[in-house]
Amino acid sequence: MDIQEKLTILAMSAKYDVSCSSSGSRRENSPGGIGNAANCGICHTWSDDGRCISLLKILMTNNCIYDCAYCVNRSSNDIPRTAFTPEEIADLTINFYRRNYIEGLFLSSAVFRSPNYTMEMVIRAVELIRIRYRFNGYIHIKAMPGADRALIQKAGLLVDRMSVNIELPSQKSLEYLAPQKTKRDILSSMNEISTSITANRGERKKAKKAGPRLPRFVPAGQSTQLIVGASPEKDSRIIKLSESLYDKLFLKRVYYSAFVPVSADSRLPVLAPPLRREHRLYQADWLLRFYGFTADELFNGEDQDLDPDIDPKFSWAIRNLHKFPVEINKADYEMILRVPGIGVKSANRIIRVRRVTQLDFDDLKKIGVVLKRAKYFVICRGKRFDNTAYNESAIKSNLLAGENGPKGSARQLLLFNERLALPDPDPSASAITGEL
Amino acid sequence: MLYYLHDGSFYGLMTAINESITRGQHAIEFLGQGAPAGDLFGDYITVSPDEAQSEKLLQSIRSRMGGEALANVMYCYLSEAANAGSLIHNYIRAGLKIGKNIDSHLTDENVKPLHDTVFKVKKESYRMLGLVRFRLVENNLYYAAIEPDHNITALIAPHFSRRLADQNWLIHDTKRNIAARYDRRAWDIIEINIDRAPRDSDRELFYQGLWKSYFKNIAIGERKNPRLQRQFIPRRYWKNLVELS
Repeated sequence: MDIQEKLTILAMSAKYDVSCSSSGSRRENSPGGIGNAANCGICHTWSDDGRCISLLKILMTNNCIYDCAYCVNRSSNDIPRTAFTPEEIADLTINFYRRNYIEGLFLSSAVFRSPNYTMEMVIRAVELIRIRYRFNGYIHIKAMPGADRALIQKAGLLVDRMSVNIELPSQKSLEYLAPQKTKRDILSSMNEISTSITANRGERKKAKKAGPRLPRFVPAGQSTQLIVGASPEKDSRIIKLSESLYDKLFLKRVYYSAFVPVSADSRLPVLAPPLRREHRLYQADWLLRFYGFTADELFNGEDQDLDPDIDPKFSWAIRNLHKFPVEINKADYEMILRVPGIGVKSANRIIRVRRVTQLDFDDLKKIGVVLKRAKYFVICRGKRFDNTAYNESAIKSNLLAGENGPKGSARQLLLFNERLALPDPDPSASAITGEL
Repeated sequence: MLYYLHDGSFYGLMTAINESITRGQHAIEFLGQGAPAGDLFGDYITVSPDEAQSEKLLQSIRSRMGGEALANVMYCYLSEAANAGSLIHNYIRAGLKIGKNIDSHLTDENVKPLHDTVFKVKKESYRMLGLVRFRLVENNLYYAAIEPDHNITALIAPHFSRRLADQNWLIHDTKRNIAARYDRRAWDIIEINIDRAPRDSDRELFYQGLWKSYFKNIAIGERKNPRLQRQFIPRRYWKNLVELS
């Protein structure tokens, strides 16, 4: 099989791993080397599904010994199987990089022969690129659950990000849909990566004073992926899981991937990808990471799904009207951040302008605040925006009428028929961001 | 209406602005080369670039308004917006009065329009870091053509000189007939006029084909979303992208 065919097969097999980031690591070029890594990450292009492409995302091989129900590469699927050689991967990566098509490489793999054997293959490819080709661009690899500590240690010193995909949000679902991957193996690999990152950072800090810098271990941190809609867990379960991953394992990012049926299996639902649900989960995730929310606040402590019609920030605000209105000229940053229509950028701008002048609603508009939402929740110099009624039902109906128009009511009716995912008219519901 | 005519260079504009500020003038527009002087009732003053005067003004901007403000002035100039001159003029007049806090006055009518223009320039410059596409052409040169809205070629050159340090490259702004050139030692900006497109090397189409194929296969068909795609890369950039042209 030539490299063109391999690239077609092994890119198509890799696309359901939605991680797209090339950020989080600042790597300098070396004398005689090629490449560097920008801390902010750089998007190079956007695919037809609207997602950013910044890395060459491929599998080392799609020949898998496991038979996970949701995966296109499952062993019982009748698809062409192949594998790259390390040289082929290097050839593609370096030549794409020189043309500025990519920031670097995302190398995942099906599990071939064993987790250890697969990781050794991956490490061989990465070593070739880093050492022989002197490549200093971004590299993200997947760790195989259950691989030896020593292999994870070796790999971590070569790459910018290393991740393990949890895919299913509970042990029960894992046992049901992917019985060959145990929760224990997945968590122990993630824990191994996490503790090594922390240990490495500590050692580097100490060594800094002594002399030459120690090599970094996974400087861009760890991430993971959860499939949305393949298993019955509610959004609260998913977000609580993310919350503990952020708090306890210091993960950089959890990705949520709307389930796309790729093979017939009676254990899996048949539905269109739940894009709106995925979008709400990203919004909830952003609230955890950037807005100081806890999972309990978002779900009122109950096991339930997020409201599909209203974003979680707005939903929290109308359930907590007693905390508002916020005086924009006096309130602290954390409370300003809680106002729907005010994002992190606007909140920072408000703080900055406040040092030199008092703000009114006109100023808020200029700063970039979405007054259509924020007007219910803020006052400027003691004054409200207008005379709109401020109780929960009035605000809700005002917002829904404005945003969804006549389509909103149609969606309401269908929602009573279980969780049917509808083709989504809102283009932003496909973007992998939760910015509110 | 008072019009200052200058030669379009940075020093040309700075000299004109310096003149107007020293004379305490108002209601001004600054016109570079090629701008139509069509106002029958306007007063026109022509100014030649004066390096010493300009440097003096730039110095006072730095000391009174800060380094960030000076950078903002330069970014605004690179925008090549028709009103860039008056934006800068109003900004400087306000800044010389207000001082180092000038950039905190985000909503001020003399500050916000300039900030908005600066943002456009920075945004395009950052976006270009990802959108530049090189081709390996004759003489072992990696050649890229770009058509940016703003004059950002010099802003992106340092990034590529660090990243692609071991290859000869040229980034050609086909709108402005200038290019950033790197010879594996240092980069500079040159004027350039080419009569034919550079010839691709032997393997160039092979790698382009691989990239196009990868680009098609990495999309999840069930999530197709052309509107979102266009939101992220506006169509006007597609011409110079291998995968979308």
